[in-house]
Amino acid sequence: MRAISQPGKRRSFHIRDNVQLYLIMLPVLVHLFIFSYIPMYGIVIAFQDYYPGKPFLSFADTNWVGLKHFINFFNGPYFGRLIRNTFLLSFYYLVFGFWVPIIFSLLLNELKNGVFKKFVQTASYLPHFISNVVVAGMVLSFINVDGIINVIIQMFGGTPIALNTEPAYFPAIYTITSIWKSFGWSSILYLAAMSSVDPNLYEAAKMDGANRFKQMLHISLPSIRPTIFILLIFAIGSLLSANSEFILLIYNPMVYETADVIGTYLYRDGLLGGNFSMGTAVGLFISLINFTLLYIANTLSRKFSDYALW
Amino acid sequence: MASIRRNPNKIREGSIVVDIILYTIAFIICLITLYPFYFVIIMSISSPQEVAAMNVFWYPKGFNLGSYELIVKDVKMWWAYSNTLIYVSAGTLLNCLMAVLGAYPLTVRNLKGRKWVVAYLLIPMYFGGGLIPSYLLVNKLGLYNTMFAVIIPGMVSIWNIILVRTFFTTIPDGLKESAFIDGASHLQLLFKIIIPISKPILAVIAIYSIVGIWNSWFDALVYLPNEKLHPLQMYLYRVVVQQSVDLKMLSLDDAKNAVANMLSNIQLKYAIIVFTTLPVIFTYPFFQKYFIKGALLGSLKE
Amino acid sequence: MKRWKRSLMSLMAAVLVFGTITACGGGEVKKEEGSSSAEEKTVSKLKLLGPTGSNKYIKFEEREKYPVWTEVDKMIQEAGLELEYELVPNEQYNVVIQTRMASGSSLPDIVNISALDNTTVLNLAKQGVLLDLNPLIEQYSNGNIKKMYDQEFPYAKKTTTSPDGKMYWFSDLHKKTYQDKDPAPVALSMLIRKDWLDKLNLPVPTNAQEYLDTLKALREQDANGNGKQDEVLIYDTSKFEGAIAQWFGLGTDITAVDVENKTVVSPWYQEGIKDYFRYLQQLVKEGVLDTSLIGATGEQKQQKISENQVASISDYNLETYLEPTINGGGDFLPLMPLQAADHITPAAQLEPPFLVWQKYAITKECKDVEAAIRFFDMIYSEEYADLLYWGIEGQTYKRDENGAKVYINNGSDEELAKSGQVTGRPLFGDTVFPRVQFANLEFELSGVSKGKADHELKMLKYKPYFVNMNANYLAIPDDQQLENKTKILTNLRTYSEELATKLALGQKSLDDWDDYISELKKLGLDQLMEIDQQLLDRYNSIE
Repeated sequence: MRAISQPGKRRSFHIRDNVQLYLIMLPVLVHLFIFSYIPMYGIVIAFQDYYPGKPFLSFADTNWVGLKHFINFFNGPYFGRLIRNTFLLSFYYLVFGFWVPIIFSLLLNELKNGVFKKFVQTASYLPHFISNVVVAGMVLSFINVDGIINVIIQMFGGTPIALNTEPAYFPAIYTITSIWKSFGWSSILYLAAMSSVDPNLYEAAKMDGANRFKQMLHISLPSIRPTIFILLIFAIGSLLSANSEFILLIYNPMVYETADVIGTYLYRDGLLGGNFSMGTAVGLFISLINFTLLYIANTLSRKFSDYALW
Repeated sequence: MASIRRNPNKIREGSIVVDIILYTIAFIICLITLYPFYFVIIMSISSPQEVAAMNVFWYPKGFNLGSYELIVKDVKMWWAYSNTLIYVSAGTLLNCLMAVLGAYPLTVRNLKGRKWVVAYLLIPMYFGGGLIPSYLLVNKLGLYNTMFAVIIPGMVSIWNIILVRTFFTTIPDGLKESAFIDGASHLQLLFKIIIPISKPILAVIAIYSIVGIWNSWFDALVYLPNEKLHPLQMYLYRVVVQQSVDLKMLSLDDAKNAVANMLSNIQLKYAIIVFTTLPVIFTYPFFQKYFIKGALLGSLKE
Repeated sequence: MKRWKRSLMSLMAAVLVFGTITACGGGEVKKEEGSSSAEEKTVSKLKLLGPTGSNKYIKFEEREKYPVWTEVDKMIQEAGLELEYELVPNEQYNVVIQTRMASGSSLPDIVNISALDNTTVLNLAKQGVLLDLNPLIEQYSNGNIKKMYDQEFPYAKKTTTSPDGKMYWFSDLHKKTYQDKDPAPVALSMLIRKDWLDKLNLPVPTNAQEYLDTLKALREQDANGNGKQDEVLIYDTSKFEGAIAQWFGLGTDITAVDVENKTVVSPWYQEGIKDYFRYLQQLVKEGVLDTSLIGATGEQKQQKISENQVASISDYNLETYLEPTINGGGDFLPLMPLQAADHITPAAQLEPPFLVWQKYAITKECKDVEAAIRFFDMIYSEEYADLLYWGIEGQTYKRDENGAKVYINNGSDEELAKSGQVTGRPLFGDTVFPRVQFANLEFELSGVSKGKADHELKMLKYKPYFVNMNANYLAIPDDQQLENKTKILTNLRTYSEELATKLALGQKSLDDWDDYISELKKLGLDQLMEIDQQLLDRYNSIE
């Protein structure tokens, strides 16, 4: 079953079709225009010295500062480190985390429909519901010098490691926790895609002598290919955004080296006073990079896989 | 054929060894992912001293339902519950509808300007004007401090549109063609043919919306100063905010109160999580049946 | 097509239903009806916007049942005011006030703008959203405000006068005195477990070396008796706000105010800094300093305390909130500043006896500014201050043998909410009602152990000292100063915290000291000190 089958003989496409289709989309387009596009004028404060209460677009009173906030950020002593950390943490999450929900959903697909399967599936997405604060508290108590991980290390004869004060371990802690928190939730999408496979295909494959692994490879996996590609494109398009809300809860000055990301840096900056313009400028910069990455990923995907956003 | 449809698994029965391995892995995963919720539950019912010391890992120590008592007795909490139900049901309905409406036209290859529409959808995923312009807009529209302020701005999810579109593209064109031969319009095709066979993805969108709206608090924080309109999650937010007060910034006088507040909130946090997430977790099995392997077979064949 | 229409219709019906529900729940504005029939004064109406209190039990919305409110209510009526409150839940007030003030529309007459930083407030003032209070006070005040600001709290004007010489907000005012006259600062000290010292027959340490040895001994001799060597010191090495830094004569922050000498100092330039890090390295090496709690949250530190594992921690000398949380109980004793390095007199860390915080402003929407000033005249009266901080004599406070006010212990907040015997502070303080507090040391001393009380009395006149709230001694920066400060601070703070921690843990060597200093200079440490010195000078020059 090809995911996108080539149109065979189809009836001619009229202007009337276009009108109909645009009318169907109209509510969405209008909503986005009002609630997403109209407020976008707020971006201009990236090029101003803005404080709440100042008008956004009054020529008398706004002080335009051009690219000052961008330049301040680029020239800041931590620019390189912040970009590197933000990128690496997202990158690790992509490399080590992206395939986990795929494998997990394939595994679930191999289980017999029944109470156990339902239970595993429900259990897998529970971590998604535990708020960051609680997860952070748990993680910190696990990785503590007298925490459970060090107890296990000692059980196998190792010496305890100061996991929360050693910068080298931070990316692993962050990545593992993030994967654990999200894989079950992400697998829902793949399961939904797999559920539309006709069981007769499996039977046919079996008659051809395909074993379970081969069936998985040639039937289950292809059924979720479009979903995989679309998610991959978006994952690449967010390589410059790490979960700073969570990092804030588990980092400390000793691991800034590998843990301080753009979001946490801006948070500390914001504590000193509502530095709206700087925040907007940095946000805009990140968005531009991410959007560019998305564009590149999409172009490559269209070229090599036939799946693309546009 | 009929027997297969009743038990689609029968055909997949393979070696017992593989089964044992698979089930063992699934069981281990289950333990790892179940633990945090188990942890939250035992924390919520242990004695407050043990909770403050983070001494509870495997089983509850002491027994105390004080936090639950505080929650259950709070009238506002029940208000918040009913508010959340309204936000979730209205929001989910609108979200699914908008996702379908937004997704279908993008699957028609000959649509003029399709690329531009996709770009139009993707740009707001990355660029936004920030808090204050959105506030000004909501205020101007007269939505500020009404329930609509959290329902309407959130009713379109671009992400959902893209997911639905991805699913729609896997539907064989033949189905559509046959409908057009019968003289159906696009809208009829969408609602009569496409939607009925898209239950899995609609179930996914519904779950995403339900859970997303259930867990959301930011719009309420910004747009709803009236406590009577607050959703459930504002309770958790309150506890967390009160707990993160920097004690070093306080005078001796205020430090006393802040510490007392922090201590009483430590356990409350866990009880609130249990209290607010259990209902939404139990909605999942209801949608789960749409993901079961071969669930769609029937509708496809008809 | 029909089915589509039907679903559309049902959707619209659903939306309508939600609409009616919304309409029912909308607008929580409470009116305060004054029964001012006997009064000849015309009643003036004022709208006030502020956050609710954070107390779980004592709530402003239930104020009618509290005797203290009855008294305040009388004052409001006597002032000829009718107040309309809009109180937004405490936790969302920051966001609400930021957005509301940004839109500049539908403002109340009087607003609590504490959540806004100085620059934002000054910019709002520049836009004309907030009124300059000085001319209004001159014109309308009955003298109460002036009396408080000029005589009782002479420090208040210094921290609230903006660079253009105007004053845009009223504040919470607090002072603590001893024997009705001397200002009484309380100290932040290293606390040590007195009951453990007694149990193991160890003397109270009298210098830094002894302190280290004592901590070692507590650990080695298993003071908490749980069979593990887990008795630790909680100390945040990334900052200088723990009291050990002051033993080495260091300021309390990257830039700190030396109040007596009217200068701004930085610990990085002070004499004792290297010895300080050498000492911390020892504490780390001996395993007494728990490095896993550096930069930890209050909750994590609380865990250790609850687990009965904390031998020493930096906190208020008169704190009473730590001991009850220790599983099995315990007793903390504050230590005097300990001699730690040759030639350096150990300094104390004090909380200033006078505090000024929070911001309450009158907006441009206020049509009756005379009434607004009348409101604040009422606030800045001794009668109100008494109700707010002390409550009602015989119910919430009494006088000790020397005539000093001390609270009557009426139980927990939950019990207080039932009995109604509360002071004004938890009920309405920091909402739209500023706090005016005449605190005294007598009450603080009455509730603590003798060890703590003795310590506090010794600290009253102790010199040298640094303060824990440096900002209290700095004037409001102007736009340029503030921009430079924020530009420097985020990077400088990041570097300083990281460096201090790595030095303390021995991950960086003290041999490369000059490199660190030149990096700090490059990040703008000198410039920051200069700005703060200017602010301190301006603070001191304001009469």
